[in-house]
Amino acid sequence: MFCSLLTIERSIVPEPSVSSGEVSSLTFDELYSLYATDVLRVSYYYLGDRQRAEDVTQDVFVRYLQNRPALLSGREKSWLLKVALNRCRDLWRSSWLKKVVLGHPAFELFPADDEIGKAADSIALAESVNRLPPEFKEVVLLHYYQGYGVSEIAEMLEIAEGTVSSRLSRARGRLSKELKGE
Amino acid sequence: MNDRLRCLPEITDHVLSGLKADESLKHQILLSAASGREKRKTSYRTVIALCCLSAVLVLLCVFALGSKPAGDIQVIPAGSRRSSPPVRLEEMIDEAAELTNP
Repeated sequence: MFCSLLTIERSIVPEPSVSSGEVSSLTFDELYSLYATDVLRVSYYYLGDRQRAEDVTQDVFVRYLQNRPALLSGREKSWLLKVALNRCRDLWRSSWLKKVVLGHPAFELFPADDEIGKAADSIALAESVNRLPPEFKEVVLLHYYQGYGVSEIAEMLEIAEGTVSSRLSRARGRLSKELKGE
Repeated sequence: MNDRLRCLPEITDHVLSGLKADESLKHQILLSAASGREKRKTSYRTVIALCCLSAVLVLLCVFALGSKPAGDIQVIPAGSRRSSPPVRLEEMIDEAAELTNP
């Protein structure tokens, strides 16, 4: 019930139409208000660290402002997420030793005040997604959280479609195993 | 599992609803873009790394100079070098006498 109500709520929010070859006319303010929270949350899922997720979001939008790439209409979000995931990957690799020595950072949740106490299994799923290895986590986030298709993900991550499908399947297997074990 | 994951957007909206890109982050972005500082943390770390490197270099130089033995300094007096041996006082007086009484 809760899930379906939110699905309806999300479907009301207008998505920019995808038209091939047309350069985006969205301003920085529009891009920020439409996609910054998504970029922040995907980065947070990836890194499990709020400060670093904010740093990544900042880097992505600063890069947009400084380079002003000619984004195609309807592809703005995929560009922002692609840059964000690349940055997350760099940060993840650079902090590998720290994670090995100090342990994985705790995936802290930030529910709104009126949401606290709802659905423990939702929290368990979110935490399990955060614990996935990076290569699985990024395809799960892009496919299930951001709603991209396999071919779009393959293009964004510059990997084969078969690899995306394989990673999704293996990620589902891992999540299923982990959640059954809890 | 597939069905559960299909609810990930709603679950995320639920569990991370307090995590939003707010106006303060937007302000930081605009400031960083205006000042051309894309990597504020990296530049901060770079400054610290350069300071440490400079300190190490200074210490190395001080250590290297301090380890050189003292007393090897050659003293060279000012003025041109004498090619002939120094003239003694007696010789000078004898020559003076010859000049006055040839």
